[in-house]
Amino acid sequence: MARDQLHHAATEGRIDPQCDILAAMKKPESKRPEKIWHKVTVSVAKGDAEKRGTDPERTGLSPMDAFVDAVQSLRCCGIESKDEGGEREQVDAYFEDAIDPADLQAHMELIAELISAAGGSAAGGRKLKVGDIKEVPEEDWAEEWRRNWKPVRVTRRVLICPSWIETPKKPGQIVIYIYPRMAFGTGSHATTQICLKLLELHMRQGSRVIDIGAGSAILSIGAAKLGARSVVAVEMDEVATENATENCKFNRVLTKVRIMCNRFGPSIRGRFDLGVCNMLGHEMLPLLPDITRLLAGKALIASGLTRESVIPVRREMARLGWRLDKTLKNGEWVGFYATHKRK
Amino acid sequence: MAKKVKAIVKLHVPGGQANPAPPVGPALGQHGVNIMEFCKSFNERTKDKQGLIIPVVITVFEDRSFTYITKTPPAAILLKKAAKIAKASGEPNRQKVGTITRDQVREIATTKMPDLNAASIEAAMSMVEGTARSMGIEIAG
Repeated sequence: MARDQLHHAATEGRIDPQCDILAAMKKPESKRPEKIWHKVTVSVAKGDAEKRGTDPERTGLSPMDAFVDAVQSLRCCGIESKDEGGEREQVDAYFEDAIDPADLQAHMELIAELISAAGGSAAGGRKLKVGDIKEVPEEDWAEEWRRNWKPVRVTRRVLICPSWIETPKKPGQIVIYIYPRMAFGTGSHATTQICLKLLELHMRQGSRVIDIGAGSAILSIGAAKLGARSVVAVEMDEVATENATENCKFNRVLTKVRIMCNRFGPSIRGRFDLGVCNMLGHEMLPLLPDITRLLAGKALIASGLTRESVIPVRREMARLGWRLDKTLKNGEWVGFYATHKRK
Repeated sequence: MAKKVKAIVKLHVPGGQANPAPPVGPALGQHGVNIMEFCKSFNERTKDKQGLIIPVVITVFEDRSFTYITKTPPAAILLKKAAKIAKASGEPNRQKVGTITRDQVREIATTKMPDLNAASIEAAMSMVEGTARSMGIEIAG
């Protein structure tokens, strides 16, 4: 649907028809083999072990707990449960393709038998009914969200806009167009907005920027449009780099932004004036020595941190010679601009 | 004014490993929720429980915004991990399958405390002990 709208917009010439949007949009799908999951639907009697209190006759595993426990060893990738009304709950358990469906069926029957047998009368009707195993092919589950996604104004100057929506550009305004796929960085997250605000406030014109964990390349595009001379976007996820490429193309910043599909580490070299890093605290911590190596005497904008996870990051940065000049907060999320002093 | 609730989604997802694949993708996608935002937030909140299946209840509002609460893993799963056993006893009264220490009971009770209807850590410990007994796990000391 969104793609059709985009195609429509492109053929009408509203959005840069020179860049081959459709070819770029089709690329990721054709490259990726289609993934399949197996979904097993089970009907489980309700009951929560913890709510039954301390009575030894009535404690023990609830059927749901027993089921979760049993499937965990089968490398289950997750469970969704729905109230069936009355005394039962419908449970959908998902498994990766690697498991043979016939084996899975046999395992599930066994699990059901064991749980039912262990139940006795104490928990009352622990019986599990195993339904069919269905195949769930990979889909673009973000479609529904995308259809309702609206432009986000980050600052007076910076606007993030879905690539299929036309926005009248005001003088001095910067519009970052994003086609959101399964990559982080759609502009609606607080940490992306914090980073863009800090980029607008602190990035000097003509800076050489490195974007660590670029995701959809939203921050790279922002930096390029806000006046960076060059941007290197490092992202280890292949699907995300494809999305990053199409977004850069769409925004016509590919001449400034170089996208590297690489894990950030000692192999990354170059001269930079500013780093941007929007990732979770425990992911950022081990990268700090290499970030410091690349940006000695320079500056860093970082977010993706919560009020709690910022504490060890701040401590490690202080140890490495960084000074936090400005901190921004938004809900539970925190971001900052820091400068490094060479020893 | 309170926002109108559109749906309540109940999932069990391995801690620190939520991604847009099933069950998160289809369950949240159909309600128009920003899947990646949920994953990022969930993975941050559960990073200490890597791989342990965590129950999570997501409330989706009419405007597609959401809030969620994570619960602690079931006591039985924590007990099995502590006792290093593969499965609970079929006859907990007669056949014992493992042993744990009082300290381990206290540790599990502390983890479970937010979800238990217990006034004190001692009350939570006796609940955990009850579960342990019903699984055929003995408590040493």
